[in-house]
Parts: sequence; structure tokens; C-alpha cells
Amino acid sequence: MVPIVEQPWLTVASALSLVAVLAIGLWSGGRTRTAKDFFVAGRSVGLWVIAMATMTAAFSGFVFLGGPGLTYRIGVASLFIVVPVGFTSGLLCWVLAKRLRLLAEVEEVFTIPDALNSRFKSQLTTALGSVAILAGTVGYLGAQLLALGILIEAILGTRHFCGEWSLLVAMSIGLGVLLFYSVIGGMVAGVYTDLVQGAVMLVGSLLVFGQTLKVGGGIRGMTSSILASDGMASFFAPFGRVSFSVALGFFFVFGVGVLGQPQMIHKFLMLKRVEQLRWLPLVLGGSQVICLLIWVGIGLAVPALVAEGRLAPLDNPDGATLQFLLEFVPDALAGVVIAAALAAIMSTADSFLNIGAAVLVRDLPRVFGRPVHRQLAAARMATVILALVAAWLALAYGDLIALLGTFAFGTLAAALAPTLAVGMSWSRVSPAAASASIATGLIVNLGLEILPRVAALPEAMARVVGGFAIPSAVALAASFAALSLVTWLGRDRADELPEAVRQIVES
Amino acid sequence: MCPNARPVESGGLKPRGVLAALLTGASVLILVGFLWSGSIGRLVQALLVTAMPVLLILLACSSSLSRLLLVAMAALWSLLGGSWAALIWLDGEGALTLGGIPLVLWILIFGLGLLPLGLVTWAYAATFVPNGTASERPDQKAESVDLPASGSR
Repeated sequence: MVPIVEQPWLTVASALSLVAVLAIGLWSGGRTRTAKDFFVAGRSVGLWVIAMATMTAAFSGFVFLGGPGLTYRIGVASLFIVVPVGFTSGLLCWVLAKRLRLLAEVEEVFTIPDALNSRFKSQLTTALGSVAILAGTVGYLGAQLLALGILIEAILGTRHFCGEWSLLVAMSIGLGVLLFYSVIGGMVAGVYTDLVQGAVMLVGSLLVFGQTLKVGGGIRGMTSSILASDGMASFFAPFGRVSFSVALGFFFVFGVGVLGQPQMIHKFLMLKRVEQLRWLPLVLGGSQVICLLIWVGIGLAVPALVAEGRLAPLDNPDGATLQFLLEFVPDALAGVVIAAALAAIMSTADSFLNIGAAVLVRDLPRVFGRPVHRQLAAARMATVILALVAAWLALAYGDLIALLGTFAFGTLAAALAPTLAVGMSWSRVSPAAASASIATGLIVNLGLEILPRVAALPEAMARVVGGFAIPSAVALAASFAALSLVTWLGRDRADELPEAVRQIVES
Repeated sequence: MCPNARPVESGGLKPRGVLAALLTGASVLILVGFLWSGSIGRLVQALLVTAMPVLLILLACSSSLSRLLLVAMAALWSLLGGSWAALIWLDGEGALTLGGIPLVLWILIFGLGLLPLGLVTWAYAATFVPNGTASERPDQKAESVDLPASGSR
């Protein structure tokens, strides 16, 4: 990673960004008096804030740092991860948003495990859902904190001063700011910092996309350079440098798997009025498309510049964004983009800190019959503990940022998407089916991700594990299949649901 | 929950069960396709995967399916499935371009991204009716306090 402390604009823009979120943290601290404020922002948030908070929670440092690097590595196949935004905003609203919001009116629903409990009335289902969220949270948070540390290390050049402790110091600085506003303001601070951070992300993406067009000679100029390069012949192959199964797996997991992402769907519980949902797909989908311009822009510009010999081939693909910013973008604009990347990372991290803390002090204790009485204070403490554990794991787990992001997203997708999507729409889905689906998604995904890394597999099994698409796609399909099959095999017990809940599910 | 004004099915039909059965079949076949590459054919596998979001939306709206929604979902599946079919066809065909830009990039950005976005946002807004039973009454639940909830746990 290149230290960039010599460019004051970058440091100034990043510092301003951090000061802004600290100020919002202070402001929201006075508005966070109850657990309802802490977990669902008092359920008083409007359309634009919800849309931006959902967008920023979904788009992490992966979009700004990992995505363009992934495109450099595997070609246009990386776009199979992001093009599902064409339908995911509508999918979320049709399938989950309204039902979850209405459920929150008939029962006390602050979290996704709360929603699972309201729908299935099963401790096992709720416990499994909570464990899945906790597993995904630790993975996701680890990825965000690692990205945060790497970015701050680059901005401040801490390697000059701290040597081998550099990443730890940089991560601690970012973690300090993140914890300050997350602990004081909870989700009130979360969604309003997300609004500001989302605006910075949109402006940064638009500006840097314009710069990529200018530097690369437009889309046609960039694609021509890539096509003319012998070394990049496969860049524009329909499935890039991956197999058909991997490309389709990306599309499946990131298209359907959004229905299992608590950092996104949790936001629906905060909406003030159901009527505001009408325009949510437009605002959410539109903002996502604008934000993804940075992925497409830098993803095309960097390989084009390498093909033209204007940029040396990258040793570390994750450095694509920073390399482009440092060498081809004016300092002031680069500052905005760095601030946008910081915003993307922190907004996703604050969402996960909140839902992770909720699992620890609200969801799991209730499952075990030991509800926490002072939830607000406990949630603040849990936020700190969770952040420290995730930071430690991030330092110990030295994989690529893109892989970490995919791993955590896939875990949540496989474990929760079928149960939430089908279970909230079909009253026949039983607690046993929901539990089977969540367990299948968790076990298959974690097993397929972890086994090849920790054990020498027998040849036959290694051939299977290495031969199919990404493990998350297999786990998600298996989870859907388990839910459906157990539901069909079991007795229809929809009439045992509370009337209000059954009406919401069947309406 | 799907807010459509003009239901087309009568009491005799049970679209929810049919859609759930289709979803079951699709998910099993998708699993088989991912586990044993080539077992069900690339085009079939792509069509099944692109059918999943459509089936989930229809299942969520199965109590009040409108013609508009059905048409929109048919169009969405056609767009997604057609784009994947085109990509499969282009695999191995070399770098075909349109207006100097690779055809693959056009398909990815417009066929799988922007056109579905326009269709979905329009269809959702056009079929949205804020008709939830609970949505139109003020939130009467007790404000949260730092005490055990009166919920069902």
C-alpha cells in the first residue's frame, strides 16, 4: 500500500469526513434514550434516509476498493456481482419491506431475529437466525475494519512512524471514530451518518467516473485499449476469467441473497410510514447505480491504462482504486473519493455493529430465557466488545478484502434469505422448515468455505469442492431446497399462527 | 402484501401453492446444476436462476396478482433470461462489438442492469397501494423501554 500523507487534500477531506460523523454522533446521542431509539432509530425515519442508509449498508469498502480490483483480476465477470441491483431494490420491497414493517406494528420487532420469532414462534429458529447473523456480522465487520485500517494507513502514512504496528494503529484510529458515534447514538447516529456518508459516496462516484472517462478516452477508448492488448484477451469474454458456474453463482447469490442481508432489511423496520415504500425501489436502485459507477469506471480504466503502458501491472489488485487516484486524479477530487471510501466502510460497519450488538443483548438472551433488563446500556457495551473481537479477527485473517466480503455476504444469504423470503410470504412454512433451512445454509456455506482451507481433502471430495461455483451459491440453493422440501413434507400448521401475523403473511 | 388493485384469480385457484411448487423444483434443479456442472445444461440453469427473483415476487404477491404485475414479471424474466442466453451464445464467439463497445458489456449493463431497474421501479410504483391493515393506523404499540418486552419470547 502506498502512503499518501504527502498530499494534504486527501488528509483534509478524510479528516473532515471523520469530524462530520463525530458531530452527528454527538447530535444523535441526545436523541437516543431507549432501546427502540438505539436499535430502530425510534421508527421515525423517512424515505430518503432509509434509502441512503440501505444503500450505504449494502455498499461497503468492497465496492470502492475490492470491486475495481476484482474487475482487474477476473474481467467483466465481476459485474455479475453488481448488475443484480437492476432488480434487487424491487425484490426487497415486494417480498420483505412491507411485511416486516407491518409486523413491527403488531408485535415488538426491533431486529431480524425478532421478526423470525414473531413469524415462527420458535426458539430454535430464532436462535439459529441469531447465530447466523452473528457469524455474518463478525466476518463482515472484520472485512470493513481491515479495509478501514488499510485506508487510514495509506492516508496517514502510519507505516513511516509505526513500522510493523502500522495497521494496528491505523485500525485503532478508525475504530475509535466508529465506536464513538455507534455507541453514543446507536441507529439514530447510524442512519443519519449514513445519509451524509451516502451523499459523499454518490458525489465521489460520479466525480471519479467522470475522471475515468476523461483519462481513459471514454468507454469506447478504454474498451478498445483492453481489446487491443494480447494479455487481456479474456477480459471481455462473457464470463470473464471465471467459469460459467462461478458467474451464475455470483448473479444468484448477490441477486437473491440480498433478501438475507440484515444490514439492509433491518432498515425497513425503521420506516415511519408504509406509504413511503412506493418510491423506495427508485431511490434505492437509482442511488446504487450511481454509486457503482466507481466500480465500472475504475474497473475499466485501470486495465486500459495497464494495456496502454501508462500504468504498471498491479501486484495487488486491491490497490487498483488507490493507484488510479494517486496517479490520475487531481488531489482535491482524490480527497473526495477517499472520503467516500471511508464513508462506505464506516456506514456498513456501523450497521453491523448495531445488529450484532442486538443479537448479543436482545436476541440470544431472550432465546435462553434471560432477557437483559437494561438493554440500552448493555447494547453500548456489546458494541464495543463486538468491535474489538472483529478487529482482532481482521488482523489475524489475512485474505483479500473481496473474498472476505463475499464470504460474509454468502453466509447471511444462504442462512437467511430462503426463510425470510419464502417464510414471510407463505404461511405453510413451518418452524422446522425454517430451522432446517437456516442450519443447512450455515453448515453448507461455512463447511465449503472453511474445509478446503484447513484440511487436505480426499481427492474425490476436493474435485467436488473445487469443481462447482462459489460455495455460497450451492449453500443458498441447498437452503432453498431444504426449506421447500421440509415444508411440503410437514403438516400445514398455518392456523396455529396468531391471527394478525397470519394476515400479514397471507395478505 | 403486494399492493395490486385488480386481482385476476378466483377462489378456485391457489397460485401460492403452484408458485411454491415451482420454487421448490427450481431450487432443487439449481442445486443439482451447481453441484454437477453441465448436468442440466447452461441455458436451463441460467433460466432457472433468473426465474428465482420473479417467482419470489409472485409468491409474495400471490394473494392479489394483477395483470400488470404478471406482465411486468414476464418482461423481467424475459430480460434477465434473454440476456443470459445471449451471453451463453456469445461465449467463444470472440469479442463482438457494437458501436465500438463489446457486446458483452452492453448486455451486462443494459440487459441485466439498467433495463430491469427501470421496469422494476416502474412496476412497483404503478402497482403500489398503501392498503395494509396495520399501515393506516397510528402505531399504538407501547414505546420501547429498557425492560423485558411484552412480546412472545
